[in-house]
Amino acid sequence: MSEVYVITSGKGGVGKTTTTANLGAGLAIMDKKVVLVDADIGLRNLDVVMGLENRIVFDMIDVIEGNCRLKQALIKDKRYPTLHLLPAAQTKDKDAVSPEQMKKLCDQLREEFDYVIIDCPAGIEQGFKNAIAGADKAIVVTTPEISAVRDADRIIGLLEANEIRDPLLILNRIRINMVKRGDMMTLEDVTEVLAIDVLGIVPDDESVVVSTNKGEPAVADKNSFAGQAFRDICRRMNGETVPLMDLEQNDGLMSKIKKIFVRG
Amino acid sequence: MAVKQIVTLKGQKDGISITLDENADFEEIKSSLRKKVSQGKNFFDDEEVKVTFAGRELDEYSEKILIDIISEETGTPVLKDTPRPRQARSDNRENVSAATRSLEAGNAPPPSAQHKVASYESPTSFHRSGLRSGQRIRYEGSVVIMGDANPGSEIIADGNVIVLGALKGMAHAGASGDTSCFVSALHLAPTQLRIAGTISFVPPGAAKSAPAYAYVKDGQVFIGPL
Repeated sequence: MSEVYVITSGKGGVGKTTTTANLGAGLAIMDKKVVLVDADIGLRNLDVVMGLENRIVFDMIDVIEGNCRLKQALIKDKRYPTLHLLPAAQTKDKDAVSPEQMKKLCDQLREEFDYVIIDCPAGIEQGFKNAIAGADKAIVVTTPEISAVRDADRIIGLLEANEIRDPLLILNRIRINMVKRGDMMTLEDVTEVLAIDVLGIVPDDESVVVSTNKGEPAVADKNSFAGQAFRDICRRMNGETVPLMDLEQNDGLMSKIKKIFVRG
Repeated sequence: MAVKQIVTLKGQKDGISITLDENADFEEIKSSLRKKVSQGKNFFDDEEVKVTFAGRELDEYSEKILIDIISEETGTPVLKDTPRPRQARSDNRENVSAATRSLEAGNAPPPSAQHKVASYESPTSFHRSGLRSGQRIRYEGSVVIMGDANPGSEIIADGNVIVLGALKGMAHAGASGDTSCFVSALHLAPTQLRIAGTISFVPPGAAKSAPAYAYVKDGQVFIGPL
């Protein structure tokens, strides 16, 4: 029943880590047992975004090298009792792990958790190969930018070559006003190139930056549009049918006020 | 101020000479040509008409646009005459089939055929899915892709390249030097197009959304509809 997802993108800075943190928290809110694995060895971020940095004692390399037991390295998130984090090592680099070791680690985690979510590093080198080694499914995150879409296309090709079929797409940081003006790629533009199923769309939302800096995933913020988008995505991962978010409602305060008057 | 003629049509023995103003905006030329041609339809009542352009340097894409305007307005197949020969719609169709027929015994193509394509007889590699960025196909024959070839992909074939989808990556036909090879796609918008030793690209806006093929003639890549 348990599933191992890798969150990947190719390009850096499109929101892999933020997505990982939010999906983890979102699924944990739904009472799923979730472990987040930071595969970005040497450039770990997920612990910071989760606000768990100060609780790291052991990391993934310690587990792989046998310096500690898996349980000892897992950090339990106090806000969400079913959410755990396996942090990356900061003082090693990507070559410290092999795909075989990563696969073994994922199989160990699979026994304990409903969802294993791996935060993949940017790039297509060793770190990427390690991150996808143990995964059953992949979620490709991209932004509506031509370079990010190009890299996502490359990543999908590599995933398919590694027997990870039918990856799902999250289109992150859409700005509906720019899409309307024709200044930004639409979801259709992106799916025309990538030709994969869409798991969700996430609007560009300042509240994500704020919550990321605070170490609190936006998914828990009831007033955040991006948080709503991540909640929808979690429900879809859990098998529910949820329509894609209507980004129009995110237009801004004035249009919301106008809508209230129109309705009245 | 005297109004200078932007476009002048002149009937000649074997076709029509079209003189274009050197300094006018291309959009002006287009609209002016459209007007002239619709006024002078009787110029074009032959089954096929040859045109020559003068007065202005035209690249093949601008030429193609102008030729398309003439055939649209008149419903007559238009043939671009020297110095850079190219075919119009109906002519192309005949040409491809003629070239296919000429495979057998090297038949001389009909007089209207100004280039020879599809003469490359080779094993063919079929790919049942599209190509994504970073994927590369190298084959010593022709290649057929059943899907899109996305930007960042590369198809390199000693023979012809046929994409049953959108070609947005790089395609190289006749990679071992056969200049008679062609690149064909349902949507021809490659980042770069190479045929034998000739390298070119399709400028933005000139990409064909209708099925088209590219061939090389006199060291230049031309694109014609299928």
